[in-house]
Amino acid sequence: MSTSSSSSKKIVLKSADNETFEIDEIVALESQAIKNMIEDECADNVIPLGNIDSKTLSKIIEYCKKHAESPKKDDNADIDEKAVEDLKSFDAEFAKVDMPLIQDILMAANFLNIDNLIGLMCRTIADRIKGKTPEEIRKILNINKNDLLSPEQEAKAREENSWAFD
Amino acid sequence: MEEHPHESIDTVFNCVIPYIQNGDDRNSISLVCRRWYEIDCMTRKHVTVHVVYSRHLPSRVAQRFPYLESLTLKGFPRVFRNKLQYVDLRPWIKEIVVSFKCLNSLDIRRVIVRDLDLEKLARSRGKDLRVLKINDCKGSRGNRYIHIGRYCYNLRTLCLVDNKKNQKNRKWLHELALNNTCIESFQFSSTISEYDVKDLTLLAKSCSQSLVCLKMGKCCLSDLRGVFSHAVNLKDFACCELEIFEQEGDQCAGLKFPPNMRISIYSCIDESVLPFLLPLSNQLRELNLRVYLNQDSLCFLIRRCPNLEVLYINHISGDNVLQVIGESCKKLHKLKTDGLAATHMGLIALAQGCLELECLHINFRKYTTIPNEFLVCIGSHLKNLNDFQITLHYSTIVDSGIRAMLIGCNKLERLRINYPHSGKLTDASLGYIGMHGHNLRYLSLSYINSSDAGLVDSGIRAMMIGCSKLERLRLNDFCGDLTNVGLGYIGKYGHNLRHLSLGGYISDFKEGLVELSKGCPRLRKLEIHKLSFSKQALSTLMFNLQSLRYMWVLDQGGPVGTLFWQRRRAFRCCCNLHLAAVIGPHTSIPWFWRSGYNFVPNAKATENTGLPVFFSLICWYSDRKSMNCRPRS
Repeated sequence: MSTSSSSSKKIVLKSADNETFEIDEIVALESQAIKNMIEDECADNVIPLGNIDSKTLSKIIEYCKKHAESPKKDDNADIDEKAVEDLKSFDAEFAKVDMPLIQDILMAANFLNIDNLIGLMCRTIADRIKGKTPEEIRKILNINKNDLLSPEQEAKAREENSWAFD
Repeated sequence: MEEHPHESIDTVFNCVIPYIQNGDDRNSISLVCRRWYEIDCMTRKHVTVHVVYSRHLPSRVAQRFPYLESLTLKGFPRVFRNKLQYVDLRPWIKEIVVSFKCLNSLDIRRVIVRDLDLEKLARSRGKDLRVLKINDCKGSRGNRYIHIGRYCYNLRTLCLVDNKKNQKNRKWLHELALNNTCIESFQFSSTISEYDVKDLTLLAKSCSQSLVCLKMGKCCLSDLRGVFSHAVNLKDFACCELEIFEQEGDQCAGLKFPPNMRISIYSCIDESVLPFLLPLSNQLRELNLRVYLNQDSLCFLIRRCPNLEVLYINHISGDNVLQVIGESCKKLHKLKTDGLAATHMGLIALAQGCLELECLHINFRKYTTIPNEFLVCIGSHLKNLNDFQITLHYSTIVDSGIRAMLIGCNKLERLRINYPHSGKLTDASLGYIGMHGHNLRYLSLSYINSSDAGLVDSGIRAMMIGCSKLERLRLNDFCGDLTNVGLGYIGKYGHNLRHLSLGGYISDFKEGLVELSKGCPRLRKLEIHKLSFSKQALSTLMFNLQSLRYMWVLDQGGPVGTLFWQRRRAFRCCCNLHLAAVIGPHTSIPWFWRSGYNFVPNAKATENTGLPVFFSLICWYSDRKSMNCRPRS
C-alpha cells in the first residue's frame, strides 16, 4: 500500500456553504468516491461537495479521521480487542445526534460511498424505527404528510398485514 | 424543522430497509406512506401467513409481495390440532406454481396438502427450491414425496415430519439420492426400517461433501455404517430411538463416525442400550432420557458424557444424579427435568457445577421442599441463564429468593414459576420482576398473594412498566387479588404483548376486559380460563382489539358459549379474528357447533379474508391439565 508515502499529502474539501476543510489524504481515502477521483487523477487540490453542508461534512470528517487512525480488520488479523472496543464506543457516541442530521450524514455518506458510515447510520435509523407505530415513524423521520395512503388503501393494507406477520 | 424532500427520504429508506426484517416492523413501515408501502412490497423477502379459508388470499399475497423468497404457511395453532379440520393448501399451491418467481424456501405446517398438489409444486418449482419443510400435514394417500425426490434437486434443507407411515412408498428416498448432490440438512420422522438403508447410504455418497445435519426417527446405528463412512462432513446426527438387536453388539463396536460428528439421541434408555451408548459417549451432545435405569447406571452413563450440551431427563430421585451432572457435564447449557425428587443440596451442586447453563426447567415431584438458598445460588452462579422454569408443589421460596435470582441472572428472557396449588410469593415479587427483569419476554406466574387489597394490582403495574419487552404473559389463579384495575395496567403498559392468558376467579371481569382492550396494540392470542364477563364487555373487546387473531375461552359451565353466539356480530367487526373458540364440558348449544362445522367446508361465505370463522368446540375434558378435548359427535 502506498498510504505511508502519501500520508502527509493534504486534500481540501469544500462544502455547499463554501467552507473549506483541509484533511490528510489518508482520511479522505475512507471515501470510496474520493479515492476513485484521486486515483483517476480527476481531483484538483480542492474537491467541491455541492450537496453537503459544513455541519454534515465536519461530522463526516470526524468519523473518517477516527476510522483512518484505527487499525483495519483486513490489514491485521490479530488487532487488539481494545482498539475494536474503542472504535465501537466511538461509533455509539457518534450516532447520538438528532434525526435530521443522521439523515443528512446518511445521504452524504451514500454520495461519498463510505460503507461503514452508511451501515452505522442505517442501523441507527432502523433501531429508532423498530417497534414503533406508523404514526410514530412519520414523526421520527418527519415524513411529508402529502403522500399518505388513502383511508381505503390503509384499511386494505392493515387487513393484509393481519395475515402477514413474523 | 424543514421537511426532507421526497427523493432524499427515498434514498434514506432504500438504504435503511435491508436493516429492518422483522415482520411487525415491516407491517408498520408499510403504513407510513404510499411510497414506503411500495418499497416494502418490492423488498419484502419473507412472509408468514396463517392460512385461512380464502381462495383469494394467495393471489393477493403474490400481487403485494412479488419478489418473496421465503414463505411460511401455518394452519391453526397447535392447541386446536386434534379438534379442527385442517385447511386445504390447494389454492396456495396453484398460486405458487405460477407466481412467486423468486421463491426458494417453503415451510408448511398443519395443513392439508394432497399428493397431486405436491407433484405440481415439485414439477414446476422443484428446481428453484432450496428449503422445503413439511411439518405435521395431512392429505396424502401414499405416493407422497416421490416427486420431491425427483424434481427438487437443488434442495439444501429438507424436513419431512409427520406421523404417517410411508411403507407404501420407499422410492422417494431413492429418487432423492439419485438426483440431489447438494443437500446440507435432511430430517425425516419415520423409522429408517421403512426405507431401504441403501438409499440413505447412496444419498450420503452423492452429498458426501455437503451433508452436515441428519436427523431421523428410529434407527439402528450399525445399519448406518455406510452413511457415516461417506458423509465426512456430518456434524449433527440425531435419532429418536436406537434400535438394538441382540446379535449386533459386536458389529457396533467397530463403527467409525465422521470426525466432528455430534450425536443426539431422544430415546428410552434401559440397561440393554447402555453397552451401545458407552462407546459413543464422548460424542453425545444431546440426550433425551426416559430413564429406566437404576441410579448407579445413570450416574455411570452421565460421568462418561463430558460433552453433553442438552439433557432432558425424567424421574431423578436423590441428589446423587444432580451432583454427578454438576461434576461431569461442564458444557451443559440446557437441562430439563420432569418428576424430580431431590433436595436443595443436589440442586446447588448442579448450579455450582454447570456454569454454562442457559436453560433450566425443573418440575418437582409432589411434596419436595425447596428452600430459598437454591434461587440465591442460581443468581450467583448461572450468569448465562435466559430461560428458567420451575414447578413446585410445596415450597419455602419467598420473595427475596426471586430478587436474588433476578439480580444475578440479568439475561433472563423466560421465567415461569408455577404452583399448582398455592405458594408463598407475594406482590413484592412482582415489584422485583419489574425492577430487575428488563429482558423478560415470557412470564408465567400463579398464586401471588398480597397482604393488603390493591397491592397485587400495583405490583402488576410495576412489573408491566419494568418488563417492557414482554411478549407473552400468563397469570393464573391469583385468588381474587388481581382486580379489574390490574387488568387495566396490563392493557396500558403491554405494548409488546402478543399472547395473553388469564385465569382466576374474578367474578365481575367486564371493566377489566374493557380497560385491557384499550391497550395491547399487538395482542394476537387471548386465552381466558374461568372468568365471567358480560356481553357488552365481549363486544367492546372485539371492537377494540383489532390485532386479535385467536381467542379461546375455557368454559367451566358458565354462559360463555351462549355469549359468544349472541355476540357474533361483534366478532365480524373484529375483522382480523380468525378463530374464536369455547372449550368446555358444559357448553350447551349443540346447534352452534353444527353451524360452525358446516360453515367451514363450504367456504362460500368465507371468501373474504377477514371474515371470521366461528367455532364453538363442544368438548369434554376430564380436567384442566390434560386439556384432552374431543368434539361431541
